[in-house]
Amino acid sequence: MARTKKQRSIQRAPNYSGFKPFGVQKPVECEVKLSLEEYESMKLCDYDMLNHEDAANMMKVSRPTFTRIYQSARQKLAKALVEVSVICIEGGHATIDIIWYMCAHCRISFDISGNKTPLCPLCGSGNITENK
Amino acid sequence: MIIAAALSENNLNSPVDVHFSRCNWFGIYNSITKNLDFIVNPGISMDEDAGLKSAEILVSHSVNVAVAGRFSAKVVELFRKANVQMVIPETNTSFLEFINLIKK
Ligand SMILES: [Zn+2]
Repeated sequence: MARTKKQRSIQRAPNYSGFKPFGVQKPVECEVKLSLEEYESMKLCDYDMLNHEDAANMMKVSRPTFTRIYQSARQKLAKALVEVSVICIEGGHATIDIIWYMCAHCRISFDISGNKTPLCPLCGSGNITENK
Repeated sequence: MIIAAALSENNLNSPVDVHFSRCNWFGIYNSITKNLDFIVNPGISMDEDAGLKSAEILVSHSVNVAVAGRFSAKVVELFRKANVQMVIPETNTSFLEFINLIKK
């Protein structure tokens, strides 16, 4: 029986959709697809410097599942570097844990805790958008 | 409202630092009393959990709003539990520019 993919939790989706190599002569044909959970696993381990156990807890997955996601992320990135690939970041099975709101007037992003009505903490405006 | 911003330098013209856990200084501004303070990031010399230590100190300073370009996962968790709002300004916003956005 096919296993259903569980939702993994990530904190913030990257605000770009990928990378392109530069300095190459021919157009780049091959493409590596990095999922949001793979992106998050690298961010937690190699940018936030968490150990695998803490990172697994953050993403609400088991330790072996985390290791699998992280290994896959590393292999894909290595492949992209060596084989000169475009890297695309795609949705996967992640849910974003935190909603970040934006105030266009103040040009800031911010979070809201609890069920409070979202208002800009600086100018008090309710004219804000969800930033996904 | 008490605001703590991650800064690279200890002055008002310093840009808000891209990463909460790795900044050199925190600027702490009380929008009611207009009191301004700069403290060295207490987590800067630590390798692991640097951000957590910094976040705890800011919570002990009764900070309501934390400002930085990025917050690490553990810091986000701690701030959400402690009801500290996180704010990410545009890149290269200075501490002064940020303070000036607060509604008078
Ligand atoms: Zn605003």
